Amino acid sequence: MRQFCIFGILILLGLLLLFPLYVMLKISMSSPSDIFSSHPSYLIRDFTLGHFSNVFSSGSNFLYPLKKSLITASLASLAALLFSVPAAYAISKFNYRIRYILIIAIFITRMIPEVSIALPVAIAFIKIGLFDTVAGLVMAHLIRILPVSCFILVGVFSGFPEELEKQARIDGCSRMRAITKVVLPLSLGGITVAGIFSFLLSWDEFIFASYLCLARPTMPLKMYYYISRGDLFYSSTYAVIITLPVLLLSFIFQRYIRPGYLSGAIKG
Amino acid sequence: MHFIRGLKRYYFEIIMITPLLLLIFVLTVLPILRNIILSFQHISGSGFSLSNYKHLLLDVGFRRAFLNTVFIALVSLALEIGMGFILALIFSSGLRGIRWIKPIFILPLAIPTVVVGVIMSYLFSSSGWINRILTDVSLIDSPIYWMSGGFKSLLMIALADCWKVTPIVMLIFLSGLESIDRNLYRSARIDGANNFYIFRRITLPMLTPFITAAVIIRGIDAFRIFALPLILMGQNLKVIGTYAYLEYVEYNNAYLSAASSVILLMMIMAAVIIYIKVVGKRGMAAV
Repeated sequence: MRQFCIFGILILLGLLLLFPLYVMLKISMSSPSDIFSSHPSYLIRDFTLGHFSNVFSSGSNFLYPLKKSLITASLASLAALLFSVPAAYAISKFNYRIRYILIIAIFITRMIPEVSIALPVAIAFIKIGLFDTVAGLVMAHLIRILPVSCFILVGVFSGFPEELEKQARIDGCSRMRAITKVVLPLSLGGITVAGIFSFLLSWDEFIFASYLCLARPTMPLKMYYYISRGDLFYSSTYAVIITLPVLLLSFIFQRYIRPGYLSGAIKG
Repeated sequence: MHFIRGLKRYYFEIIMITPLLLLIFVLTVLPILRNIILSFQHISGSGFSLSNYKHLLLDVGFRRAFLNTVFIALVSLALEIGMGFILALIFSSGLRGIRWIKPIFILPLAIPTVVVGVIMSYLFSSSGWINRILTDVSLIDSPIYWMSGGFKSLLMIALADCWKVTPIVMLIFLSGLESIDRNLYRSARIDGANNFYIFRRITLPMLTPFITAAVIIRGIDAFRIFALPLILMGQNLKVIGTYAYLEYVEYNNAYLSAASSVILLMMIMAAVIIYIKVVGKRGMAAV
């Protein structure tokens, strides 16, 4: 009986948790008369894909933000891997004390509010002509991505069996060769996961983008533009388009992320 | 001597990690220093000046933003830690079939914060769905104006944050609960301990590092809250983050913006240090 009660409460709570997402989907798929009626129904009465076809057919208005977001996220995740793969490998090899200091130092950069980094970065980028460019945004997004990709990769490399690497060294590999021929190929899964999460962190980034973009917005900025104009249908459609890849990819890959990676680092 | 030995032993690792450290230095440390310098300059001259801080301390708008930030941080943190803890206890209880429900409770974690802001604006607007549900179950007669400012709006932002963030807290606690050795419970039971005693003497002390981690990680983010108040309230209710942003973007005053973000940074550091001091002592007492 008690078990039954707990399940009932959990399912009710779960429905409440899902409701906001349902509302997003509902608005993006209902005709205006369905939403603006004085007593709108909970169900989708008048289903339409019109808002999506409107958005997709709005030409450069939609394609430019999409392109900018995709290119920025791809470049940012590649750059993040380029810097954090060797660094994370090195961190996992240091002795306990140095590893602890480095992890705390990287964690502290996560503590800094974005607004206090974005402002001087924006001022500097205006001066050197990186304002409103993909390259500038990629660099800014690295600030957000690097700590996370490092934490994931330190987990990946710490779990790598040391024996394999030692064996390669005994067989005459240099350290570099042992890494490129043994460690990296066998850690490819974990590195891919770090890359995907880096991509997502750039794809839905909002704060740096709002400081560094003006004429050429990213997808989240475009959505912000629509919601501040009060356009329900465009904003909800953009919301769905932004959310879907994040939702799908995080669900496929969430089991590779240990939620305790930070607490583990703090405990040491 | 010690240092040189370390250099010799780790030269390869040091080469591998240097690019990242340089990048972090250029993209994070330098901007922060630049930001602090900016905060001590004035629009009119380039000399050292405290006028930005003086202006902020006298500005009613900034003091309100300060209080708003603290209020939202405390309320959302308390709700998230409390609910995350209860949910983690339920999901670690091993009831049959419960793992089928768990994904629903992790789902909000994967929704981008900007999108959460947009969705919450649909829910909380005066003709929105929260009011609709509350009238339908006849808890209220007339709609609540969540976005009219004041206490209601602060609560709205805290609740919106809660929806997105509680899963993370729950996951941190779950991993903590899973790390506790089951044999501890078994032997305590054999010794005749009741549920409450086990919870207070085993579960809680073993979870302390995870609670500390959750409070610090989430507390930092709670102070930095930005997208939700900007999308939901904009100019009408500012936290320090949006105050700094709007000061720069709307009024083009980089110096004031810099000063307010430095204050935010100080607040975060103070909160973390105080918390570690307090918990550190209590943690030792528990041992």
